[in-house]
Amino acid sequence: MRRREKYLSLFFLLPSLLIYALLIIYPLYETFHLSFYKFRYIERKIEFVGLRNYEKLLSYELFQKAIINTLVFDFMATSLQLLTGFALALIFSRSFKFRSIFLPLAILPMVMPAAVVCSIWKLMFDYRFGILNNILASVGLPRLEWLTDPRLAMISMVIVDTWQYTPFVFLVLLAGLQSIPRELYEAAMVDGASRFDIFKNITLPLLMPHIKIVVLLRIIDTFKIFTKPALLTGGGPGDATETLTLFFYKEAFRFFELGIGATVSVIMTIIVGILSLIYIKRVRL
Amino acid sequence: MKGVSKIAVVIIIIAILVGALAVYFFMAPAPKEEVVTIRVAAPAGYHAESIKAALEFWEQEYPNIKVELSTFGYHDLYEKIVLSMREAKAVYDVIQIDDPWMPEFGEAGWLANLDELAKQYGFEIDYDDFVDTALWVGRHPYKTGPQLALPVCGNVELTAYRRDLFEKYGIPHPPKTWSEVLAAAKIISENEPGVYGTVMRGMRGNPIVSNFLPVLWAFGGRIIDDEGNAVVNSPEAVEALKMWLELAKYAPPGIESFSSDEVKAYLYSGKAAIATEVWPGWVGKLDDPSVSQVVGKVEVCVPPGEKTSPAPMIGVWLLGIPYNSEHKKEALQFILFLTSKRIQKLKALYTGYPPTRKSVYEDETVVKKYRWYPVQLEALMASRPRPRIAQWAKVESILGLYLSKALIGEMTPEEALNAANKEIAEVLKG
Repeated sequence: MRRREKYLSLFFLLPSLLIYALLIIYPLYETFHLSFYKFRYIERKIEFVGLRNYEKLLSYELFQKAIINTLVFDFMATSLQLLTGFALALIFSRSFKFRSIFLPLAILPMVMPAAVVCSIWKLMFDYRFGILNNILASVGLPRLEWLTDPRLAMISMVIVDTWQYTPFVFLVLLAGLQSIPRELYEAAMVDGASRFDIFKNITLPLLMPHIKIVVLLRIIDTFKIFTKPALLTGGGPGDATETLTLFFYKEAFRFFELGIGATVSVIMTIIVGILSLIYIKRVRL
Repeated sequence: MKGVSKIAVVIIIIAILVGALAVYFFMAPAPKEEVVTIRVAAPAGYHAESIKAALEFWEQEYPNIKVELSTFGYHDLYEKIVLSMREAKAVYDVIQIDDPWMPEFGEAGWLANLDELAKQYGFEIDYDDFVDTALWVGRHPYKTGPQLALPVCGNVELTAYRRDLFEKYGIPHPPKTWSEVLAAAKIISENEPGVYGTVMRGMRGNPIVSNFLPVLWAFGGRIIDDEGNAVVNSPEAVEALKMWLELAKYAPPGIESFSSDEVKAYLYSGKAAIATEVWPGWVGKLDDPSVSQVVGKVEVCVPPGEKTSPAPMIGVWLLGIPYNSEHKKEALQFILFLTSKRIQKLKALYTGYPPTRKSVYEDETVVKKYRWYPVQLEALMASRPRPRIAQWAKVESILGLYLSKALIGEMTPEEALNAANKEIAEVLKG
């Protein structure tokens, strides 16, 4: 009986396993396989080169810069989004006047297409006419070269991404906050706990699982940043905002160097895999 | 009783359906002439607009050749064309090609020979009227090979300057050398409040390279020499880059991310005295008071020379027929239609689309509307193409990166060009 059940369950799982194999395992294998070849799609030239693609990329300065930039961006954007999202969630977890008006407004950035977000921000970042510099100038501060100062360009990118994806963190954490039983707070208040104690001993520990998962999702998603550097800076100035995805896109779809493109994506997969594994181990998710 | 009526209902429905089908088949008109549909891939924006304008005439004159137009953004178009070429059946019958793509497409054997097609179907292509430089980029190998595509958009780099300011400060115009441009930029930016001396495209990638090339060429520098060696770190090139960086000092802050939109904004608002690089598509509305604050004040000229005569960069768009198209005759008819004198004139007048025929540039009504057209023709005839190599996209990307590094001061001109040259040499090795 047990055995039959096992086989039966396998049988029912089969379709989804097949789809998984076809859509995930096979392309993954193909990409891995391709990364050992020099493959110029337009000339239809295929040549086995062993590990030379990896060698070439890892010793290429622009590619190294792309790895560092992507990691730095990922770290900065994820932390900032967690902070602002958490703060927003705390504000919105209580009821206040016009909450029902502000709530959809707070979510708005997330539902906008990235291309629209970029053109809006490009205007706001403009040196002469942009609203950000106008505000700075009106309080007597110097105007900033948001997108064109190599030291500032990446931070501007972080600001745009934070603006767009804070709502995601905010929503997940708000749902978490609302699932904490009210009785716990009432009991704590009866016992005379201070607000900070309540936050430290009830809110934070009970919200932890949500925080852990939302950070993991943001780490993975932020790693794939593409539209913002592509539209705002083109990876410049210099190589200040070159990211792995930008590098990949150019190799694969502008130069049609599919071997190199595959190698980039294998390296990306390894990096993001290691990052997530360390994170999952560390926070015991 | 109930069962019977159900069956009856089903029978009646079937009878009605059969009857309707019979009527449809008997009444349908017999197909008269065969209608052929050709599929066209073109860049979105003003290119697509001009084709749509021409289509209104096409549909009246060629009712049996339907045109299905697909438009894409620049990089998308390239990607779509490349991917479509690997299909067994043609996806497109006519493709619009940016001239730097030609060597790659030509080498891959993707384009049908238009001379042979014309002979086969009995059409005549009047090459004499087309601007030579525009025709040459449509041949593979460059200039000498068979015609694989016909130029449809006569884009060429020009320079625009505020004539009123040049006259106000007694500067002779139009500027003949880049040194004169630099001197003028200095005088105007120091004396005219709120106006920058120059405005340039400094965004990494294609914009910064396109902006730099005319200066490079004017100093006698080149990216690749006749033997196919990378020579972008030559003394002439270094000197050119130094001049270019000097010019950039008089440009507004933030040019490191400037592309066409920003240059146009500064030009149209009158906040920049000289736009070192403008394209015909950007200047069309300079005399239109609803969008321009400098009506009648801006003059367009052939980009300056320096050590050599002026060398504006050509940026022509061409129309070609994929080798695997099944409607080559109709496709050729469409290409001949779009590049004909009559349609080019209409497109120029209605949408400001840059022609590729001398006769259209010299046409009285056209010149009356666009006063700089004689200059544009002059620039086109003196123009130079980007290096005719299949790896141009990579070379441009490398040069774009290091020019950007020089612009932000991360590298000196010598360092940047040496680094670029080393990488370009590697790409050329294959």
